[in-house]
Amino acid sequence: MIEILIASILMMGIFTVGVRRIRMIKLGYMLQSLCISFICIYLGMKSGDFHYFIVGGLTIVAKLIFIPYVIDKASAKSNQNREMQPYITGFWSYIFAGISIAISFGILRNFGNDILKAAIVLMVIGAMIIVGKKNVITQMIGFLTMENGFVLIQLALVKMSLLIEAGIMLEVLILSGIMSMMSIYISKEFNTQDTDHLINLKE
Amino acid sequence: MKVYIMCIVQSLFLIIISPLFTGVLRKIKAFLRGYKGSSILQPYYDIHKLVGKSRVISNNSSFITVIGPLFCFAGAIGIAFFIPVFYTNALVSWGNILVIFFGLALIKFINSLIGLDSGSTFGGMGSSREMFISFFGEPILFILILFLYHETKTFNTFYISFLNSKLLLYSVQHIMAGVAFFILILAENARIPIDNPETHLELTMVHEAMVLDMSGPDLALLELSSSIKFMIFLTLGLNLFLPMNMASTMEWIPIFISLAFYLLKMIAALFAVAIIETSMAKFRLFRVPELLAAAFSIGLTALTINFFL
Repeated sequence: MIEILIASILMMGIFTVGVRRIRMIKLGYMLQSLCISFICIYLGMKSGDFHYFIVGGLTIVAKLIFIPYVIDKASAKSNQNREMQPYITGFWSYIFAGISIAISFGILRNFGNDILKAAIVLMVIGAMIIVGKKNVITQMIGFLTMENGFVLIQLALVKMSLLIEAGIMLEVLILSGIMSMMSIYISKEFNTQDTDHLINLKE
Repeated sequence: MKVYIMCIVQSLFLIIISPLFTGVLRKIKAFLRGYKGSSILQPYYDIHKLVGKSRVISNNSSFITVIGPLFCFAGAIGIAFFIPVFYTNALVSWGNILVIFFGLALIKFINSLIGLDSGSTFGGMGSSREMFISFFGEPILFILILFLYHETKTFNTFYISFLNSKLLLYSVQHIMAGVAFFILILAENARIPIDNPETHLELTMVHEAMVLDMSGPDLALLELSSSIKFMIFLTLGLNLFLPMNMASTMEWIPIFISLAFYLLKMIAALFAVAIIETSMAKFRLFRVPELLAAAFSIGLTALTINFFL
């Protein structure tokens, strides 16, 4: 079960890197988050520890309901539904993602835990989305993908207190809120969501 | 001796039943689209009808068009004898995976030559597109062959399926490699989203453009060979990545159970293909490399996980 979930997370991560349509990137992120919440529930059932269920529940509420709603709102207000001119094209994004994942696994070869490896790979994929895309909403999803990696690290490594877990979730919600507001203001100001235009603010 | 006879029987079974699976796929698609559809035996009727017609060959064609369809058909039948269908045994020495994929690539090459040989614009365009897609598909294939070799330390498909049929739990990398192979199956067999096998719209055709000038028995042989090739790919995918309940002893009960499981798995795979084909549109040609790059990336990840584990 856990193998299928980890494989799904990795594959969703890889597919998200090269996709241009915001709706598809959002869908990839949602499926990824759903798999993470399933992992939480699975671990909770296996260990009988209640805090895994809380993390799973919070993940569903924050990442499958609230954040997609915020992304939809920001996308609708700015009237942009796709990444027009990314720095790295879809084809090369996939190739670079494959190579960087290979390097990550090479570095992590002595780590026995599959969840931890998937977590680091998700962080690398998130970083690639941020670097490769120009659209503010896609960059936000890149940040959120990195955060998904962080949640997985937390699941793999230590049992954190509920307060810290709640703090992480709150941070994600605030981050998505701020970035969606930023995206709306960027598109109002420059009539685009291209973050390159932020350089004009210097003048 | 019994083992070898069993291998030949299962391959003959695959060759005979391939058009039936094509018919089943069409029926599932018709069901999903909400109409009745033709009988599952329709591919056999089509082949019978085509065989009864006379041959029409363009004046510009060379000997390639004359012998090409026969070569494709012979190649597809030959390769069918190299793969496990519902019975596998570690003692079978044939079934080298490189020979299988080389043979399948040869069929594709001859198909492309047939497209070019007719001298029509569409044939050339189809051949060019087929080679373009194949150029991106082959790295995935080699990555997956490497993965299977690294996983099982053998190139023999019978031995690989024998070893994998003993697995109780599939690893993350095994699942990922299976998904990459599934995308490759769609690309190599001209299925949606890479190509639409039902279209006769000139500008979007890939595989159909190559066989546009063929008729009568030649077309029947090409249709049969492409249907056998598709089933070879699906059977390979099922038996290399999902070979649970595969018979490896010469007893009737395990063989019947294995046959039943093979048919069930094949119908499930055809259902998955039908769902993709009814829910997605064909990709633009220049977006196809993106999908294949994603499959390459998944395959590379699977290989890396296996290598560093």
